[in-house]
Amino acid sequence: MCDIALGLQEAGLKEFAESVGGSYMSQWEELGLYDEDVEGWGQAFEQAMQRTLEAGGRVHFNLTGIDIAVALSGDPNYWVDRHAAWELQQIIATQTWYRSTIFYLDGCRLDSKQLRQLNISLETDSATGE
Amino acid sequence: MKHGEFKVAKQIGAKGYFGRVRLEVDQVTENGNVVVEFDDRQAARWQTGARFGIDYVLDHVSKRAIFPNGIRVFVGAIEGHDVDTDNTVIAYVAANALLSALGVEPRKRPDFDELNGSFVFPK
Repeated sequence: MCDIALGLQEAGLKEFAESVGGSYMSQWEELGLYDEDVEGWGQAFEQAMQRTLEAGGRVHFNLTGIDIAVALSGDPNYWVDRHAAWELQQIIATQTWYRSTIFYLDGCRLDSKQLRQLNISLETDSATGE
Repeated sequence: MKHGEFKVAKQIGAKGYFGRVRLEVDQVTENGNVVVEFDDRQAARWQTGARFGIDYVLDHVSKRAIFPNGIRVFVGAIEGHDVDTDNTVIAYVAANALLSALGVEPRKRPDFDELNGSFVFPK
């Protein structure tokens, strides 16, 4: 298993992870996706993303339950108590991460048109109007 | 029955501190003892920290004034995060949740030093 799953715990992250064949954050330390001595989630998440993509894995992001407008308007440097929203911001700010991520909403995989309608696109694309 | 809730959500540099505890207090038990119980599903993790925080408060309030006939603390929910929560954070949060429920000022109270990111439990 080298894919990882993201999303809200209260929206059923564990079950979502099982459905897409990925691991979720409570399994990542044991899988070696981040070091046990990380200082905070910012460092742990970056390690997990990098190690997943280096191993050829993909990211499955369940947007169910996330207020996307609120998430995207939040402080991208602050993750505490808004972990999933911050993770979404980090992914759309990083081209390699975004290109390796599959987004889902209410059990359905989203295509690029649906993502644009939700204002989910690479920040660089948004800036150039692509 | 009294209810108490407390939450910490703080990011200091690269470190995160997050935890929320909800609990209920009955100031009478059948045999006058101190009883601490946890919800099996909603308060399954970080019980060690929560128990320490609760015991710390009970050590620093007047038993005769506050719970002369015993006390039952039921921790209904402990919320946290895999990296930004640990037993130390939850000890501080649970202590403050209990103080909130009791509505008393203890002789000593735990402190969160936000400059250094350290938690202090004075003896």
